[in-house]
Amino acid sequence: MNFSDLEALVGTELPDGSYLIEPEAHAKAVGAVHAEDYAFGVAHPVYAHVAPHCGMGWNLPEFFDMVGADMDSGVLFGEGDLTYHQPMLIGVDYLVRGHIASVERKRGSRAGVFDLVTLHLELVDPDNILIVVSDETYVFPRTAEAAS
Amino acid sequence: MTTIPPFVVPEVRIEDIVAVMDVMGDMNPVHVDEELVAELGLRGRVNQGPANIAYVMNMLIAWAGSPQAIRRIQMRFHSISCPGDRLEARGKVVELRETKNGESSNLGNRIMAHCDVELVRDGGEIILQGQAEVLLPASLATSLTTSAEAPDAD
Repeated sequence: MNFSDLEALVGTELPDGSYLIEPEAHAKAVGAVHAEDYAFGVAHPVYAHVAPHCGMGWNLPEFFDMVGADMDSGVLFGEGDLTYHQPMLIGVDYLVRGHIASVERKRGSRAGVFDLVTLHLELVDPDNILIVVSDETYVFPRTAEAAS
Repeated sequence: MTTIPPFVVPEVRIEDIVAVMDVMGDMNPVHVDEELVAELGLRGRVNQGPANIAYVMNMLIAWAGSPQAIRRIQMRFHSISCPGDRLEARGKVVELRETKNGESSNLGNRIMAHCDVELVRDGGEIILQGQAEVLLPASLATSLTTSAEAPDAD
C-alpha cells in the first residue's frame, strides 16, 4: 500500500463493536500474565487494552487488510496509551467505538520501511459513560515493493 | 526518588502466550510460528504486548494496593520478550501531585504519583518503557510525602 492511500485512512471510523468481560476468560487471562483475579468484580487494568482491542468493530484480519498487510507480515504492537475514567467490571457488556487516529511511515537501518498505525478506541458502558480510552499503535513492516 | 518494589516474571512460558492468544482471539502467527519468526529475523516467538504491559501493571497494583489505582499508563516497546525470558518490571516515582476535583474517582485518594516504569529482560535489555499515573492510598501517600519533605540525614 502506498503511503498516500494509507494517509487517506486517517479518520476512518470503525464499526461499533462490543466486548463482554467474561469471568472465565478473565481468570484465564490474569493467570497467564501472573496476576490475581481481584475482588469486587473489577477487571485487571490490562483489559483497558484487551476489551477495546478485542471488541472493536474490525477483527485482526480485517484491520490488517484495511492497512494493506498480511497476517504473517510480522506486525507488532508498538505503543499503548491507556486512560482510565471508570473501573472496568467483569460481566458487563461494553460498547467499543473508535477510528484510525494517525499513520506515519518510517525507515530504520535494520528494520527497513515500516508504518505506524494508531487506533483511538473508547470503551463505554451501556449507559454511554466513558470507561477507558486506548490509543494503540501497531508497527507494520513493509517490503520495498509494498511500500512503493 | 522512591523506587517501586519490582515485579518478577521468572520465565515467559509458551503456554501462557497461547492462553492470551485464546482469550484475545489473537491469530497473529508471530506468537507461535518458529519458522516465521526466524524468517522475520526475530529472536523467538513473540510474547504479546499486552502481557508485557500487564507485568508492569502488576507491579503498580501490588505497590498501590488496588487495580483501580492506575489512572493512566503510556508504554513504548523497544524490543520483544520471548519464551524462556526472565523479566523484571521496575519503576520509580518522579513526582507527587494533589489530584484535582473528580480525578480521584471513588477511591478517596488525593495524591497522584507520576512514575517512570520499564520492563527489562535478564537484567539488561529494555523491552518497554513508559510513564504511569497512580493514585496512592492515604497511608502510602503520607509516607512518601513525609520522606520527600524530610531533611537530608547528613
